[in-house]
Amino acid sequence: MERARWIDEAAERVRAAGTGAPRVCVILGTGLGGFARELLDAVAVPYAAIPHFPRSTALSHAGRLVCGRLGAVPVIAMEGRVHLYEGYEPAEICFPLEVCARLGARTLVVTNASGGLNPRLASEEVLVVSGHIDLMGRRAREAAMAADTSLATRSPTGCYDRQLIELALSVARREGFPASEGTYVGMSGPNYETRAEYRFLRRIGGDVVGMSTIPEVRTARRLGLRCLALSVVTNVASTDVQVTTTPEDVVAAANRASMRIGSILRAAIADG
Amino acid sequence: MLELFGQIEEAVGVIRQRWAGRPRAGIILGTGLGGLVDEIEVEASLDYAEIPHFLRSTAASHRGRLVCGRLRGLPVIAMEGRFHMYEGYPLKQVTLPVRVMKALGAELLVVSNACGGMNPNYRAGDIMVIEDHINLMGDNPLIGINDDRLGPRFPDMSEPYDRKLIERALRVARRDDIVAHQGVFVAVAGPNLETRAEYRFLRLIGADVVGMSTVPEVIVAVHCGLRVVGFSIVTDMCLPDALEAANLDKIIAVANGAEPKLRALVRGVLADEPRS
Repeated sequence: MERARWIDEAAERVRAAGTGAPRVCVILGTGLGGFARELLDAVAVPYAAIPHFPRSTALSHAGRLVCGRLGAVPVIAMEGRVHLYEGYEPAEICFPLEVCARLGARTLVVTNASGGLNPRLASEEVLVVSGHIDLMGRRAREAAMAADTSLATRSPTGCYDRQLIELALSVARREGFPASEGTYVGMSGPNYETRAEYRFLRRIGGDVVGMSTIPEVRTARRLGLRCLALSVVTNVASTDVQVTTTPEDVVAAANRASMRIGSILRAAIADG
Repeated sequence: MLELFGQIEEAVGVIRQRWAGRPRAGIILGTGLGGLVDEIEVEASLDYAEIPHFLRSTAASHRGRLVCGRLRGLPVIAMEGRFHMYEGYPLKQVTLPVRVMKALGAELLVVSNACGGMNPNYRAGDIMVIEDHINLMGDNPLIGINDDRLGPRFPDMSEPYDRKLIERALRVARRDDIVAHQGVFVAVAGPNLETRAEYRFLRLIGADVVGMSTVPEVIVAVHCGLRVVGFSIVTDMCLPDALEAANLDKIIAVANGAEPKLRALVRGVLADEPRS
């Protein structure tokens, strides 16, 4: 199977850089890349140097793996990810994660920036994802993920690890910043939503909306990893009054919230 | 998406050889606007087959040509015959003509479509000026590498339909005693019509009418900086608790009946466009 060989080749290249076996994989989304600087004994490997890795073209996504440790826990951090809206298929989006799992990761913490739908959410608040709604469209499902036909069993507790959710929320309380759990809606993008779309997504039970994460979480679950997804609310959807959203505002808000995400990441990794 | 730029240039090159005009408005002659072409003083007309990278029209009833000329003195370029996602065409190809219109100098885009009415206050034959939309087509013409020369990576869509153009259209409607609503259009892929459960769902999520086109063109129009005005002709009512089987003859008759009204609205909207 070609894909399995590709994963092996990529994993081998990462190991050859002198990285140890990770236990936790962290995907650092828009504006949240700075966390990788906290890793000790860090070795950075650019995606461009790893066979079969997709190249990131998205704003504020650096495009490299950083392997190191936080305390005693070995971590592999993806600084930069690729998205459906860039034209990638789910198999390409999830390839790096599969490599991280091959290297030994058994917990995934994924972060992203999102638009707030729930009116109780303000900019820079953290939403701990407890469920998602996949509206990313046919491209998210069309491509076969892999030749692996093992059935991804339906977990009664869903994709997101309950203990990690509770841990994240307790960190927020302890550090004194607002965080709640809720539902992430995935849309392909790349345009931001119309007001009618914001109303629709809120109506169907979405708390935040974004353009990533779901493909990675699905793959992680298939591979048996525990998952935690953290969403930084950047822009707040204005369903009636016309408000323009710009990517610069989104990145800036995510940057401002990065310390909050950092504190949760540290706790989740220690738990890993 | 980087090959699009070259495709646009090639198409523009061929059109320019036949027409030196600079259009103010691009018009997609969807359902209910076909007759508008009779009001255009045609200066040049090109079959899609003559234009590089344009899709060929295969449906018997669709002309498949680009009409360039003047509408009451305003330079316009009109697509007689459009393409749909349900025909299997990739959205980038469906929407290429919009980018070509922009490249030729257009500043606004007029679109129309046929739709099923779901808002119980609407009637078959009414026209709805599109105020906003919901994309449920499951696809997006902007997916791919973004070419910054064509537009931004993340277009804002908080007001895809130009507020001033909406107001103008509604004013013309009131003046001419035409029933015109403003509301939300939801685009689905089709080609089947919806089930009752689907109509309930679509209404519940906030849509007033449903159709199988237009949204891809509007997304691209916003991406490349065109002002947009859109009109939906309610060809049949789709009330889930009293749903009638779709009757194609009736639908066509309703669309034909609405045509003069829609033409009047488009004329009225374009009449107020400042002539440079």
